[in-house]
Amino acid sequence: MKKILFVNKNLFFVISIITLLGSFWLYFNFKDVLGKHKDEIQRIEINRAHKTSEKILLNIQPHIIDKVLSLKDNLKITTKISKLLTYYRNDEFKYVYIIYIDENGAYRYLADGSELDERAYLAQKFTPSKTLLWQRVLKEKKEVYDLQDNAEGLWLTYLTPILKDGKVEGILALDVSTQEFNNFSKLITPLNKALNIFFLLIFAIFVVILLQGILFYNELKKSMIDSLTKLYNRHYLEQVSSKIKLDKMAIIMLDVDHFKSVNDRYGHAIGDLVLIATARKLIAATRLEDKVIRYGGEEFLILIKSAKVKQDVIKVAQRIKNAIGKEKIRVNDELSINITVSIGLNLCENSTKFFYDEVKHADEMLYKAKRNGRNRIEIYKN
Amino acid sequence: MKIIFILMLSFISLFSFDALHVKAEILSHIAHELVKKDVVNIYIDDKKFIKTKGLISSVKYTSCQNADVIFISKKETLNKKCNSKYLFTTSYYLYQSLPDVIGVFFWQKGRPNIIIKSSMIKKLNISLSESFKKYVE
Repeated sequence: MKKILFVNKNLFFVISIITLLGSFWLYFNFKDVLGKHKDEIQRIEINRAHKTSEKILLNIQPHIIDKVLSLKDNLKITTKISKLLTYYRNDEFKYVYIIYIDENGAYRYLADGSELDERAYLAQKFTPSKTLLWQRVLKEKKEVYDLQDNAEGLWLTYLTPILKDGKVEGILALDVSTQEFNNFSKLITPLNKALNIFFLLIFAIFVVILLQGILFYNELKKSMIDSLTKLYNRHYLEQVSSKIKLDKMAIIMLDVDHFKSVNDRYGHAIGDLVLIATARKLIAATRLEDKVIRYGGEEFLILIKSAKVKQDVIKVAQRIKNAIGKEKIRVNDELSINITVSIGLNLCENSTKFFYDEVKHADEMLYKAKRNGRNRIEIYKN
Repeated sequence: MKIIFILMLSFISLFSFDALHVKAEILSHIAHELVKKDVVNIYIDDKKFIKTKGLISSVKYTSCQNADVIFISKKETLNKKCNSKYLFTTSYYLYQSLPDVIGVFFWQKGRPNIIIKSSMIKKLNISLSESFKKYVE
């Protein structure tokens, strides 16, 4: 059941990551499509502005191209042009006006098709908010446009030069309202919001799963550690037993001799201290790659990784026995206890491939060591 | 729930505040360009600009008599006691018709417009910063 739980946990994470990546892909693809669609609407709008500008210039050309400079003083004709420009003003093209450049290089209104309350006077000074755009049309002598971010209700401004003998005499300006853009936004905003919420939801679920996973992993780790000695416990052994390669492993079963009498004589608190001290000595006497496990009570199981010479493990067992028996365990200032251990060693030669069978053999050797007088090592011989 | 409501309210007021704040900023810039004081007293009669009151701390809205700079939108507002003040307008028509107006600040085609009379700048010996020189005609 626990193994199934482990597999499911990994599967759960893989599915979560795939879902998250899928959501990322979906989200950015949708944003990309929206961006392209917005660009397409902008392209269409620019195309319309271009055609409208062409029509306007075609209509007013007889009046303006040849005499644009003299028109500046002719209120009657400029009013007529302003009136003509009003025909092109609609919800899409909010402001249609013509600007000329005076002898000092300042921009001034020549005609304005705006509504009366917005209409500029003839020769009124015009200070563009996007000066560079207006300079571009003078320099490049071709149509230019730019998005409006400083003006209320305007999306973009489209400028067409009015040329005379290769010189820019005036500029026809079309201010495109944000209406088309807003229509697009109205259509897209709910979809966009839904996608954002969906993505946030997926992300939140992923974060929750991740947190749950971390909590689960921490709990699992805790459940595999013995709270008293801080060594691995039997639960850990159950988790790793199937992965242990017995041909590269030796098993030591170790029991503290006469531990019951320690408990009876000094009490369980002192008994616990003896176990903690024993655990420390076991850790000190083994290598990092070896695993020391509290098997139960005062019994310990040590998995010794033995690469080539299995006989070396006997030396390790000897070292452990000596390390524990040599020095007394100092419980407090007044009390030091001398303990010994009995060891059953299984070198796992000619292994049965069943881990718990090999543990059983080591355990048998431990009991043999106990029977034979304790404080000794017995080695399993197959 | 209360916090969400307050946040929503702040969010809404933040957006409605924006355009008005731009107007207040420009008024403040003009006032400080003409009068070099930390806090400039201004008087304004234009309803479109009244709501900008209190948005900028370096400008104090006051009566015509106590103001350093006067922004008028109607000729009738101007009384004789205030004739000696720096006079600005928010109407292009007044800018053209009143000879003693320094300049005009108005909103047209969704954009702010400023025009300053060079003759008045010379007459009153006002030194303008580089950013304001482009508005002079």
